[in-house]
Parts: sequence; C-alpha cells; structure tokens
Amino acid sequence: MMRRRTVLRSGTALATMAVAAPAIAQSSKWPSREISLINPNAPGASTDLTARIIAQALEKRLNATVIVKNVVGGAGALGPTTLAQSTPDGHTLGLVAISSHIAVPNMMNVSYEPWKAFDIIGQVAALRYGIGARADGPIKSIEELIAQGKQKQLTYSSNNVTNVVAMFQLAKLTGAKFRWIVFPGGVESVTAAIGGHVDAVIQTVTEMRPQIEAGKLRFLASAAEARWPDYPDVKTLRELGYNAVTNGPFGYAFPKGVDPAIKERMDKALADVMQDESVTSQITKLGIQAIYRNGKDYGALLKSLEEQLVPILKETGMAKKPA
Amino acid sequence: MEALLHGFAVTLSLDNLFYCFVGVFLGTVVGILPGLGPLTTIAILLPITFKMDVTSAIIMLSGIYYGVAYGGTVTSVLMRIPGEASSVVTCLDGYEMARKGRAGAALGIAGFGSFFAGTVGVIGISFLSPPLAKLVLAFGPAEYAMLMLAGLTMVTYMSSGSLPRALLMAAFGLLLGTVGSDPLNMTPRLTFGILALGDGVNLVPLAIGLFGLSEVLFMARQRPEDMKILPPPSRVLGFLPSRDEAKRSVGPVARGTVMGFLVGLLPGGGAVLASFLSYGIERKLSKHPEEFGKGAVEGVAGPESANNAGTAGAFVPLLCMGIPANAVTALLLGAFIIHGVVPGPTILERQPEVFWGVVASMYIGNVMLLVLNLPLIGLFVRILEIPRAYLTPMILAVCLIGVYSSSGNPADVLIAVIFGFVGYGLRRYGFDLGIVILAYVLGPIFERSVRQALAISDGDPSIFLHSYLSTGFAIVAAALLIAGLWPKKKARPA
Repeated sequence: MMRRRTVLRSGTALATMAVAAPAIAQSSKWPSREISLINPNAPGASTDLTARIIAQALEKRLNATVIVKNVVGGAGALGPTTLAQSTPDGHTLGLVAISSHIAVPNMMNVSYEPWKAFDIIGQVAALRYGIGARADGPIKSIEELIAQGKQKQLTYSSNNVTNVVAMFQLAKLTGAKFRWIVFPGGVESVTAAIGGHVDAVIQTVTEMRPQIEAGKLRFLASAAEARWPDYPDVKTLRELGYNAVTNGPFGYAFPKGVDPAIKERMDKALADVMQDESVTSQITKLGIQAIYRNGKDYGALLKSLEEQLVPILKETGMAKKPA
Repeated sequence: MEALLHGFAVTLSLDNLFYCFVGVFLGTVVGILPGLGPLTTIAILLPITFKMDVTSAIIMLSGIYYGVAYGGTVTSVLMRIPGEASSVVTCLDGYEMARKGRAGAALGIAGFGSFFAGTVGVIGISFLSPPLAKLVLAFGPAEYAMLMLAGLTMVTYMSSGSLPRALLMAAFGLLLGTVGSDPLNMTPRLTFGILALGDGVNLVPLAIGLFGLSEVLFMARQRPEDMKILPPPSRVLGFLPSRDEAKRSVGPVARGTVMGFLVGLLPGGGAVLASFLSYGIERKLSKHPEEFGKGAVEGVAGPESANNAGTAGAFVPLLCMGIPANAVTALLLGAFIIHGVVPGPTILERQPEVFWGVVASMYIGNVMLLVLNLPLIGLFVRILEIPRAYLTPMILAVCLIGVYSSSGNPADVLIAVIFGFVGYGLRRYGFDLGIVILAYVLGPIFERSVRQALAISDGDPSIFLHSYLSTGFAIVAAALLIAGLWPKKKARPA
C-alpha cells in the first residue's frame, strides 16, 4: 500500500514538474516566436494606427517581432473572443476597451466573460471627443444647441455607441431633445454634419480636425475631461456647466492565465514604451491622447464606465434581449 | 498648371520615382493575388514609411492603391477568380473571352482602358478637384437612398434571361445583404448565433465562392473533350485586340471613365459600384446585348475603365475635403495625418508640394503600370496552356488561400465553399450571378440610407424629394425601371 501511494505521489510530483517545467522554460525563453497583437478594428482605424506604433516600439524592447493582427468581424466581438480563446503563453495580446468589456457583451451573446477572461496589461491611449456643428449653420454654441433642442428635436450624427454618452447625458441634464443618427464611420458622420444633413456631430478629434481647420465645422465644446491641446480656447462641457463626458480609453491585455513572470516583463515593456517621447508624440499626432495606466487602474476605469453605458444601450434598443 | 509642373519636378527625383515604382509594382502584385487587398498591404507597409519623407511615403502608398485596379483583372479573365472586388464583373465576359482564345485581347483592352481611365482621372483631379469636392457634401442619406435605388434598377438591365429570374436573383442578393448587424441598432440579424456572421457575409468569400469555386466545380464535371479553351496566340503582340474589338471598346471605355470618376467621388461608392454600373449601361446600349455573358468585349472594356476612374475619383474628396470614400482611402488619410499632412481645402495653401507631387506621381505611375502590365500579359496567358488536371487544383488553392488571407478568418473559407456550391447550382440552371453581387453591394447602403433619412425626418417620406439631387435620382430610377420593363422588340434575323 505504502509503496503504491509513494509511487502515486511521486507520479503527482512528476506531473507537477512536467507542468511547471514548461512554465519556467516559457518565462525564460519568452518570447520564443513572434508576438501577435489582436486589433478588432480594420486597418487604418485610430486604434490600428496606434497599435502599429506601439508594436514597433515593443519589438525593440522585447527583442521579438510584434505583428498587428486585424481580427475584424462579429460587430466587434470577434477580436476579444479570439483573444480570450487564444493560448495564454504570452505570444498573443490584444486590444481591450469599452467595446470588449461593456458594449459588445451587453449587445450580443459572447463566449467570454469580460471581467474574468483577460489579464489587463495597461492603457495606452484615450480617444478625445468633441461636439461640432456646421460652420455656416444656425448653431453657434452649446447653449444655442441646447436652446434649439428644447424647441424642436435636433439630430446629430455619430458612428458608435461609445461616442454618444455625452450627448445622452446632456439631453438628460437639460431636457433638450437630441436624436442620434447612426453612421457607418466617423468621417461619414462628420461629412453629414458639414453637409447640413444633421444638426450636430460628436466624434473624435482625428475625424473632426480636418474640417475644423478648413473652417467648415464649428467646434462647440470638448466632450473629453480636458480641453483639446490643439484648441485651448474651446471649453469642455464640464467647464460650461454640464456634467457630461465621453470617455474613449483603450489598452491591451493577455488572455487570462499568462505566466506572471511573462506578464511582469510585458507590463514593464509597455510602461517603458509609454515613457518614450517618440512613441507618445506619434500617437498625439493622430489626435489621440497618449495616456498610460497600469493594468489594475485601467481595469478599474473600465468598470466605472459600465454604469454609464448600460442605460444608453437599453434606451437605444441596442442592448440584447434577456434570454 | 505651374503648380502641376512643380509637382512633376518633385516626382521626378530619383527617390520618388523609385517609390512610385515600388508602389505601383506592389499594387499590381496585390491586385493579381485574390484576397490580399490594398487595405492589408498599405496597413502593413505604413510603419515602414514613418521614417520616410512625407511626399515619398504618400506617393508609394497611393501607387499601391491605384495599381491594384490594374492587376485585379488578370485572374478574373484567366481563371474566373476576381482578383479584387472591383473586378468581379470582369469575370462574366473576360473569362468567356479567354475561353474563345481572346485572353490576351481581354487583358490588353483592360490594360489600355485602365490607362486611359487612370490618366483622365488624374486630369480630373488636377483641374476639377475643388468644385467636384463640394458636390460630395450635397449627398446626405436621402440622396444616397435615391442613388442606390437608381443603381438597383440596373438589375433589369443586367439579366440575360427573363425578368422574374433576374428579380429572384436580386432578392437573393438583397437577402444576403441583410445578414449581419442591423445598421442602426446593431441587433444581429440572420446570423443564427454564428459569430463569424456578425458583420454579415463578406464580399470576398461571396464573390470568390460564386465565381471562382463554382467554376472549379464546373471543370470537374466536364469531360476533357468538352472543355474548349482555345489557346491564345503566343505572338509577342498577342495582347493587341483585333480591329473590331478595338472599335467596339472605344465607347465603353469613354463612358466607363466618365461615369466611374463621378461614382468614385461618392463616399461608399467607389470602384466596385462603378464597375457594375458600367456593365449594366454597356449592356443596355449595346447593339448585341445577347453577346453579354458570352464574351462581349464591351463587358470588359467598360467596367475595367470604370474601376480605374473610380479609384482616381476617390482621391478628389480625400485630398480636397479630407473625406475618404472607402476603407483604403481612409487608411491613406490616416497615413497623411501621421505624416503631419492634414488633407482638406487647406492642403493647397499649406502643403502644395505634397498635393501636386502626389498628383504628378499618378500620371507617371499610370505610364509605369501600362509599361509594366502589357509585356506581362504574354506571360500570364500562358497559364491557360497548363493542362486542366493541374490548373484546376491550382485555382482551388488560389481561391481558398485568397479567401483566408482576406480576413484571416477560417469561417470565411467555409462560407466561400458553401457559395461555391450555391453558385454552381445557380449557374447550372442559368441564373445570373452578377445580379446577386450587385444587389448584395447596393442593398445594405440603400437600407441604411432610407432608415437614416426617415430617422432625420421623423418618419416623413417627403425627405426623399427635398432636394433637386434626390428628386433627380428618383426620376432617373423611375425612368430606368419603366424603360427596362418596356417589352423589347423581337430581334429579327438580319
């Protein structure tokens, strides 16, 4: 009996070693091949361009090839689902944002649990939003937008539910009536506003700047927490007295279960990349704010945004029907 | 004019000529390879350009974009696999020409037509940009809805068989277009809980399945003696079309160029729509519509010119308004911005050397493409001399790899295979597959625009007639429909 148990035990020990051994080898050898960065958006999207800048900067620090994989589809669900299902060996990371953690899981049935499936590495950037109206149109300030919205229903364009939070909050705070017209892309949305087909627009600075520069679009207010550095005179909604903000953070995560030693090295590498002036200035050029938060803080930020967004999803009929 | 000459001075530097050549060469290669599109290629190359001079970078990336419209024809004509979405319609008559031993002529016509359209398109960009760019703003949801409606009436012109059969295929295409997320509130529709269908059936697996894979199945069924592909003339100048072919192509090339350029201006329009509309128009205007689908040279010349002109047209709103007309020009916009260039009305004042440098490079790039492509035609047509036993599995492999590389999603390969069988079944019973694709492309834009317009007007349908533009399109749509349904005179033996 005794003997058999010993055998069993040593067998278990062996098995444990067998499991542990690759893990040790993994962290010392990592990265042993190219690292993929999964981006759920198409090539050319703000997040895609940012990912390519970061991937290039990570390559030098990790001594490995980092490729951006655009896993586009499933209305934004395919990227995070693929990430959650990939092997947690440190060779796959991917974008996590409001879409992966809040919007997508509340809009459709997905196979991953957003708050459990990922080891978040950190935030790298935040999209900056603003509200604009046609330059030669009747709306010249946020106050006028609200005043007119109280008299009749106004329309505004935007391409994503993440963007429109500030407009919904503004409507709730003031009683003005704004109707969101969904456009397939950010630029289409801005174009509709300067063409006078809708009354206003809420999009990112990347999409609005060319038209503001050209004098076609009037920049009414920053919908971000701070003013846009390139337009320091335009106030935020908060400064104008309305507690309304659209947040657009994004960052990266491993699938759950990556060796802590690997995770730590990746955390460090990303933190170091985000200290790099040449990286942050390239991101800033895109009209995106380069912000670094570590994994824990970024996770907490996403969680805090959940309660803002879920009611909007329900109000617009976008939330999935309870099963 | 002086500014344009300055642009040539910028382009004619050794560096920029080199980057222009790299761009158009890559574009041709990417065009030939089904699945691998300009979007992926430009995205991959973008980081490499970070260290390059702004103008050189944009010249190279643009070269890829307009080079693609040249290369896309090759596999459409030789193997019935659309190399690019904008060459789908070329499969219909280009491949039939190849079967009659006129592969070289089809590719030659496409090459010359592309060159003409590309060059006229650049002339359009040079001289008409500012006024045309303003037109783009006039297009709101209501205008789009009516334009798409006019486009959908093309269905009645594209069919070779009876109208009910054409309408059946149109309905099938429209149904395929509704798969995916609802355009307004994102509710999944007809996805059967399959994640891969969340964004709908993608164009690449659909087109490659319906056209390429269905052809593989056809080949597999035929007895060797039934397969008549006449060998193309292997003369050095084998790409030259016959006098009759050349004469019949003049009109389609000219019409395709003008129409393609105008459609290319519109966001969401672009080269795919341009090629389909051109095919429909040529079929309607042709003196021998019965030849369409059986190797009519007009069915190659028109669409292949239209897609190149459409590609050029898309540069107008991009450069002058900062408005990209499609995903690829959106990526180019991103490239501009990374390099510190803000396209838009101010570009001519602030960075004229970039604007004119790029425009001038497009003149030169088009010449390069013609010189690059024509000699290769002799080489490409040799593909047809490969025995069927080897060619068929090759086509199969090219199709499947192409589909996979377009999205990296294995589900798309399965979708392509399914549509291969669907396409085989439909073709066997004489249905027109071009109509399916046309309805599939236009349907979703039509639905979205109609719903956007009605959301703006609070349900009042008079919004569709609120501008001259949308009213005009509505009248065109009605006229096309009535003319199309008018009973045709019976053809009399001459």
